[in-house]
Amino acid sequence: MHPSSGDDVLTPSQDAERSSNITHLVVSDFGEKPEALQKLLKLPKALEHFVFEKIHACPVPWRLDMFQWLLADHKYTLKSLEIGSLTSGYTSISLLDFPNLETLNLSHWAYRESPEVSAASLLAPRLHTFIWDFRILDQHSESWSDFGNEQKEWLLRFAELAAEKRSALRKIEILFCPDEYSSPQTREELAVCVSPWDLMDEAKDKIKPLGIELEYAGSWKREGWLQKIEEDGRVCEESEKEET
Amino acid sequence: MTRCFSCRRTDPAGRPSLGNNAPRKQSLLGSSEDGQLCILPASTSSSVSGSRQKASPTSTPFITRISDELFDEIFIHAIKGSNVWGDTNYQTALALSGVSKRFHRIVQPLMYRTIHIGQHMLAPPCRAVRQLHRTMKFNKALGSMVRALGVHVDWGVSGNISDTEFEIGRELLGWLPNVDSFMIHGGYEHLSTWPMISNAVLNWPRLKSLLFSREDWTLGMPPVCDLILTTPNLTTLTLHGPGGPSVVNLSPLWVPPSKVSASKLRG
Repeated sequence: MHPSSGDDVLTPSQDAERSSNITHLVVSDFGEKPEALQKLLKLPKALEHFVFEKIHACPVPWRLDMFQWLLADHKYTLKSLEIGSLTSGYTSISLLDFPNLETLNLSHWAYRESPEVSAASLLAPRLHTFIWDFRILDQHSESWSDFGNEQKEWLLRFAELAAEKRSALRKIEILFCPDEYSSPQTREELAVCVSPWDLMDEAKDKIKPLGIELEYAGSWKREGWLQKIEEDGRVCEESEKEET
Repeated sequence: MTRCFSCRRTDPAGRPSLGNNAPRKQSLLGSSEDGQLCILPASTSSSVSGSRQKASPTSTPFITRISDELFDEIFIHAIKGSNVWGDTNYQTALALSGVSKRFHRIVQPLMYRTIHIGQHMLAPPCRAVRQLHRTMKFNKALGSMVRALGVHVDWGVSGNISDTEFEIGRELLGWLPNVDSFMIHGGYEHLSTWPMISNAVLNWPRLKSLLFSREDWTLGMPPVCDLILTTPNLTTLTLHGPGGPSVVNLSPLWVPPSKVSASKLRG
């Protein structure tokens, strides 16, 4: 039986603090208060990989800047950091004090700073990979419009600034798996559509000379999509005929 | 004209002769002088010459000269499932097991390396769990093969699960001394769930990875923190859904039980 003390925040004993050999900590759908996570984070001696995945239901307003102090004890050992979508608005975070951070995965749904602020605060000295995560991973997925011209321009500017600062950044990875409902459904829509992958291809070519690779899953071919629309149309026509 | 690979005779119509009267010889595959795959002439196959002699039916087949350890390594990869858990591909394992007694002897323990009974209930024990329990009861050596274990405890749709329903689960977990990765889903609200986990974990000195996932909002932080402190080799901890609406207001944030004074406990 564990002691309860209402709202009091009890602290781990000095003996228990930094006594665990845990190097990988993955937390998702965290339903406790930030103080509880702080206590948990006090146990590992040297955390190297920390993942805080999305929150589904929690009355606590989680913000990105909270992780600045939550992870303070591990800033010298942390090599990778992943933060999913949070429950309360968008804030910035500075990772300049994390000298060994190599990989950062930030959800688009948790972070909306300008490229200038991002380049000035996210590019830790050894950060070589930045993962920009658009995935929603819920009953619905992100839509095609979530990666548009605005995101392409952000990416280009961020890469330019990273190169100007002679940062360690060498790779940007985009995680983007939109559902088909938001895709062009007719020939007319397809004719005027600029797909997210067209924009990513364009950005990839532009930032390559800066020494930064852009990676993303999936490819999109206009001809293939046209074929799909035509096939879907035929299926619809046939089912309508059968009904009449 | 078609020739029979077996007896190298043809019938008048050019079809391979399958007559029973003809003496049948085994054809042997080998390489021709220009390095192509071919059927060796009878005279060559019986001659003594280097690698071709290895193909002789009277010598030991190459496959039988492969050591058990090497097969072990090959089969581990062959029967690995494709999902994130690395579950065993039992179809492949069973097919391999049926090849020979020797393969069966090698494959059978490998089928116990990863046991994921997440689809079934450890408590109350479902039929599959009872069968596994029975198998291990009569062959405890199989328990030492288990490295990764995933279990599921009913989260109490049918109310609290009595302690006796945990008996089989407790025994089963106690027969697996080499577990290094453990996952448990659901059912933390039952009085017997955490004692079962704690007792098992104490007997797993190789435990490196722990994963707790909730069904309902009953995964409290205190017992998780207790377990962290009793598993010195733990390097990876995954928590899906700790705390939650029903826990936040009641939550005792963690303190090691031994450090709590009696006065504090009384409130």
